[in-house]
Amino acid sequence: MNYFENEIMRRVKELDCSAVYKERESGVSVTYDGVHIAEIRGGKVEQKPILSSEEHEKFLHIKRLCANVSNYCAAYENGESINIPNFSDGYRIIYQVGGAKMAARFDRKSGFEFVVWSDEEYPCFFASYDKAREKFAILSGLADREKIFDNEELEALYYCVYVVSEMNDTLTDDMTELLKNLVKKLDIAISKNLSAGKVEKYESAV
Amino acid sequence: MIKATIQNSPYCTEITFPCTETELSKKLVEIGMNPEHLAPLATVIEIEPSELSVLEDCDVSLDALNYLGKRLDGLDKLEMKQFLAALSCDEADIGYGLKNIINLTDNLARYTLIEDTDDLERVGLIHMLNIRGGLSESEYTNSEWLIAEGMKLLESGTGIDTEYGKLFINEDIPFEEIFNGTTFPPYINDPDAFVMIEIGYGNLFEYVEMPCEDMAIKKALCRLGADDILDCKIEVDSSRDISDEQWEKICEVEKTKDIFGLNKLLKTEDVHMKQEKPVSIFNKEASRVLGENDFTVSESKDCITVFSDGKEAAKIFGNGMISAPDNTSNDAYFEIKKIAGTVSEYCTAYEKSAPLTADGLSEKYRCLAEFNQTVLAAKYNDEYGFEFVTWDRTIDGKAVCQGKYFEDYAAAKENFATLSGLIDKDRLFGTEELEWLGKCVKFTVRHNGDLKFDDCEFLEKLNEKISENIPENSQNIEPEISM
Repeated sequence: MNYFENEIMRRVKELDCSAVYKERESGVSVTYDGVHIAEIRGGKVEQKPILSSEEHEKFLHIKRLCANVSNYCAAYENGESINIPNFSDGYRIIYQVGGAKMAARFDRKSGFEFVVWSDEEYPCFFASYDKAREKFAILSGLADREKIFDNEELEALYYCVYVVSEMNDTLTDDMTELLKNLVKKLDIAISKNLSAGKVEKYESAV
Repeated sequence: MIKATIQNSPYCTEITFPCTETELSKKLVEIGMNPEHLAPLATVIEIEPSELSVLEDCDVSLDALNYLGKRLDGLDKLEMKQFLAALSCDEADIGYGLKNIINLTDNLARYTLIEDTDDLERVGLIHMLNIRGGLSESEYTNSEWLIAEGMKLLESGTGIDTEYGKLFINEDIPFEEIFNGTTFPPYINDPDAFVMIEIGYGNLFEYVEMPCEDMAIKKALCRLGADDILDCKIEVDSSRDISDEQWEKICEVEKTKDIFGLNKLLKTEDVHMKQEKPVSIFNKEASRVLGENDFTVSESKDCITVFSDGKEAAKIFGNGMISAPDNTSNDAYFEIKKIAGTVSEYCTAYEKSAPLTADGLSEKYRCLAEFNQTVLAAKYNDEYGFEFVTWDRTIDGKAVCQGKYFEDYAAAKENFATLSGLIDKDRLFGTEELEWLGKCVKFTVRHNGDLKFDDCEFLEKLNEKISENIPENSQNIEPEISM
């Protein structure tokens, strides 16, 4: 099993799916609620026929997950080993922009661990690649910290837009459409975090 | 480049000029000659380009042929055609023999070659550039004058048809003998050379680029007819910016005449160039951007003084530090500070970054960042400032595609961050979206009585964050949401 397959086997559990590695076929078979929904072979995801809408939704999540995992596995495979005092061994530099660096370490049981640091900031450790690269974007100056909304803020914004759309009957059609799109965008941003298994307050907020 | 088959009966070999002394020595061995011969001669059996066939069956100096090879390599396409046209034209009457052929390379102004006679302006331009060696900007753009000169040339009726076009002999320009047939005129050929040594003996001069093969020095002395280097006058010249200390050391050869020692020194010791402090592009760019934002700037050696409405608002120093006059800061000062900060950020990133390598990219970009097959690059131009671009790498990673160009660094960075997947684009909001989010937050705080104090405080802070991200000129234009 390569890094990618190992990581996929571990991370599909976050989507309430289970996976089996088929050695003979060199692929991963994914099931959801007992239904075989996807085959992952050579980095490609194949959908199994006749899926319910819920199963299809899961399949799309798996596809997104594969793209994400393949991204950091490829970076790790090509990364150079790095030995930094006070760091455990086994880290490889996966990205570097200016003084900001992002490294990863792989463990068969616990999967990947990411660390991000810069000349001015101490290392921050992450289990989530998405969180790590966001921190990396901020440290490297590629993203403005003030422009990015964290989960708590996104939930609050969702709540406020939801309140206005539900409680305000003076809204014009254009306003309603605009707010509908905002709710949709916030919903996507939040559900992406849900799929990463992070948001707890969201449901109580609405 | 010259390709020739040379013979020292009964041995023959093929050789390409220009070549190094070592390569030439090997060829001499192949034709049974002493590899250390200081003035080797051989018979030319075949030669390319064919216009040089006048040299066939002649005994020629291989060093002279090598020198001609270097000169031909230095000609551009048009000059090469001019050279070959003149060589193939009997009326050009350059006289045969390698000496005259070498001299032709220094006398191309005497021969104007016109490939296309239809465009009179171009005919005039080529002719005037050829005979004058250069034109002023006003002459260059003076179509009327160029057309008149072109017409005059064509109407002279002196054009001779050659394989390369019509060749005109400019009788006013005499054919000068630069190469005397013995010692070679100076010619800068080796890009790695640090110095040019002029060796004078009697009325003759030879020029050697250094470091070089010792054989080149020995041959130069031989051509001068000098038995001993101590009898020669030596002068050192260099267009390279060698450090003062080393230049002094190099120039000692003018007294010691230890030319071989100097050659060895230049081969073995690193020659240090004068380290000029790189001129930062920050000052230029900061001045340009501040000017675009209606500030007036005055640049001095140490800093940029920025004026707003005729009054001094700030001083920006080369290291990016900024100060307000008499420590009084106002809105203008904070705007200048913000601009200087942004300019400093991308100028520093640009100066530290490596050139972008991508197949087929004709312009010089530097790669500011690369993540997940997405590239953020920048190009700088003294006049127009910076251009930023985001690209996707092609699947093989060798080239780039899908370029999106920006003048604004922040916009380029944001595009790069979302395109590369560093930031989820659903977590970033545009101005209109932010305005509506702000209105919704305000509405909720005001009309939802169920909110606890902590929640209200959190929402107020969130609203502040939203307001900070809305450009000032967009704020408070539309009314708030009302019930």
